[in-house]
Amino acid sequence: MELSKLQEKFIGAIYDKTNIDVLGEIKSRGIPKEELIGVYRNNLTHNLVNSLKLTFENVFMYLKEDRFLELATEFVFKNPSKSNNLDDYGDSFGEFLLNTEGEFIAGVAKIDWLRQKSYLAKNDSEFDLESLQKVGPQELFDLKFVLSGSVFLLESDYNLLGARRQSSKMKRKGYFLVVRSKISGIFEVETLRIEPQEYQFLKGIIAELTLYEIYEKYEVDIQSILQKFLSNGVIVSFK
Amino acid sequence: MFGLGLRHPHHEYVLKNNPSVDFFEVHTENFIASGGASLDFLSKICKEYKVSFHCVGLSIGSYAGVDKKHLKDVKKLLDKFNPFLFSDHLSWSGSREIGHSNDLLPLPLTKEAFSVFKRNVDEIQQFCGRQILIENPSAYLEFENKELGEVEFLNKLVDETKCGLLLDVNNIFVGAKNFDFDAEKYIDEINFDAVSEIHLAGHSVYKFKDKEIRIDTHSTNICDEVFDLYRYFLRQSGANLPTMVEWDEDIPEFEDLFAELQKVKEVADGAF
Repeated sequence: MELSKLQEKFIGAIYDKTNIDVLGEIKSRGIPKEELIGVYRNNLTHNLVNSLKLTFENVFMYLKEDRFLELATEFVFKNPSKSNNLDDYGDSFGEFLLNTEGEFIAGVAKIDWLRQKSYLAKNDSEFDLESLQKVGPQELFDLKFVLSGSVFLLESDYNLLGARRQSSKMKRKGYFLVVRSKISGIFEVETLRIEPQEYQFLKGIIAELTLYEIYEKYEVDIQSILQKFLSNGVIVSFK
Repeated sequence: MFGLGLRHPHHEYVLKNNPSVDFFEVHTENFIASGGASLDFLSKICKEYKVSFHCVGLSIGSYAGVDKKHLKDVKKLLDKFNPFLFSDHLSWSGSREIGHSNDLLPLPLTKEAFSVFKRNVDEIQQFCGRQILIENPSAYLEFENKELGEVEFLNKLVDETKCGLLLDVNNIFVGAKNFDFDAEKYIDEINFDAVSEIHLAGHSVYKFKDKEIRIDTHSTNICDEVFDLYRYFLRQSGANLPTMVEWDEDIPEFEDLFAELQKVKEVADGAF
């Protein structure tokens, strides 16, 4: 069998134990060939489930070990990995959980995924406060600000930072900000619940609007919001 | 030189205590990030220690070729940290098209597989501008259409690509038990001049009725038979090479891992 076919069939057999095309290519050695393939299937399950467990730590906390492992294993066999890098695995785990566990857990999974992206994001240079202070009050409104590469936003019908039991009973619209900070040399990813106005403000920055355009569009309290996001490292530069 | 595989549970300990280890080996894929804590840690470690980069995801035996994005990510790290050794395995793990196992899968030892592997090693070495060491793998099955022996495959690869070899003594032992070959004969046939690093690790034994299979779990102490084989390699080759202990599952306290490395040193000292 050609190498391309053999490799395709081998991966097929690992992800689906009813796929037995490759067994004829394996040498007999007293142990059933299915069991030998099973060693690789076990390794695959272990590696990918463990990767999901590390990435989706809050989902794991809510679902508890047995349910999490059951769902993660099911997900692995329905969603083959497409990358050499385990950090890339799991982007659709939230959608998968939506069908089995509902919106709250799916939302928590989205937050976990964004936290992982934030953790791996590029480092930012320090904000140039001195240059900003030189900008006159009129020009200030023409500035466009830039968010940290570690910033991610999420809107949900649930309070994803609350207790699952309460939240699933009572919907409560929430806006969330994921951002990585570095305090005393230690990186930490935080998930913060923010006000709707703050969310609109950050959306405006992502859309590359000037401060004036953001004010016009959303009528938000520019000064206090800007102050807050400058001081906590969410905004990292301006142009 | 004697080193240890550096895994996440020991990161903080190593930064705080600066243990006396000649080098650390890291899994390159654990540090593929644009920024953040993992890269920050690697920068600190590379300032204090010699570091080798051991890849587990280049999937060199893939018919589909080496993933260009992944190779670029690896090269970026190599260029930034300039490790003293760089390695991956005689195996494959998949591709974007057919899916990945994120594991080291067995390669059929055929002439076609050799051509593919050689093509991919050439591409990696050319793109990265440095030599790669290829590690002999642990395998749990063999394919029917075998045309080359594993050592023959590795030695031919060295001749044709100028790559080096990373000899995993535990993998030789596991292979010898699983496929019933002579581990010492395997060592005798290796091109000693090409070997630039030694790996040692523990493995596990699983039973299937009256048969058993050895699995390279890296979850236990190095067994006596593997130490014997290591001693045999040292005596036959007369080589003094960077040697390290891998431990990836059920990771013990750093002190226990360090004690395992001291055992390795004693065996090496007593070998000659």
